[in-house]
Amino acid sequence: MNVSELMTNPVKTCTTADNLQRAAQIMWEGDCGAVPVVDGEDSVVGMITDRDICMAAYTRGLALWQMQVSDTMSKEVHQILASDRLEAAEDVMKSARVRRVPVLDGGGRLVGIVSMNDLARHAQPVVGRGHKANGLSLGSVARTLAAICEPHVADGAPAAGGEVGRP
Amino acid sequence: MIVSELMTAKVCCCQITDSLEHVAQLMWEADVGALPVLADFGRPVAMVTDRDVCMAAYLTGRPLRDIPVITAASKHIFHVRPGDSIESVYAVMKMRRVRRLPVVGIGEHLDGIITVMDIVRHANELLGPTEPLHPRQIADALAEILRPHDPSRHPLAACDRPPRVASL
Repeated sequence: MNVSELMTNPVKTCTTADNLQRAAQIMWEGDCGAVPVVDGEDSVVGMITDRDICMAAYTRGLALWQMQVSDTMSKEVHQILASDRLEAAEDVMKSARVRRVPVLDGGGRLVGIVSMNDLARHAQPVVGRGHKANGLSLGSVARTLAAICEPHVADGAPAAGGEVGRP
Repeated sequence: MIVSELMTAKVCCCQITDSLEHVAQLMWEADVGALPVLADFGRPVAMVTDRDVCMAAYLTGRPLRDIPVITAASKHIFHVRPGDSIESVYAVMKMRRVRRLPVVGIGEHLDGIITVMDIVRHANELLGPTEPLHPRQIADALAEILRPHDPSRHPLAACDRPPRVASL
């Protein structure tokens, strides 16, 4: 199964010119926790999560409309292609320890997003030894979830929070 | 296997009188995404997540120090007991569609917290020949728990929609 069959499309996005009030509004209305940040040509330049916004509000002590997406987003973005297999999405999530990955087409444009939840919802328990219903076994998804959820080791400081410094 | 064997016993908590600024500080320092909210005598009365904090800041338009935790936290919480079976925890998580459950012991004190990830991490042991938890059960429960929630269930959802703010 390919990523394109499972991804959410179209995907909600925000831009580097938005403030955090607008980003939170997109997450509220779209009931999502992570939004890709795009530039004018639909190429992804960052990701922003509800936790990033929470931590920016804490570290800077400001209301959301007073802070910019570009100062808060994480600029290290892990992406996959719509034509990739689901296992590739799993590998990216496991190695980068992220739960949501933006999906690009061949031209590098954003076409969707695929989440750990999508994979978990479509995982099948292994029926008999070695048989996989759609290429993703429950055991494999469980291992990916476990890898993502390993506590982050970063000398006491959490990885979330984007570019925000400690107060 | 029972809850007390899988739960995290040392839980970071906040008090019912805290502001969201203090809540976010605790989440930052402990690197966690959810905290039980304790009332008098250490009784858990609500749960608050980093998403609740984000959305309260959005819906009120105010800095976190001006928002009391109790306005943003979920007050309809469910709990399990330290001696409950893992199967019963799964049943509660699936039915209530929650990923984390406070573990409440003697005197209604908070003894710990158990998450779906605690169970997933131990899935291999749970799937062993001595435990009856079937893979199909785990898949069903995960699918239910991870199904998108209705945003109207947020405690601040009844607030007036905040004004759209133009980019600075």
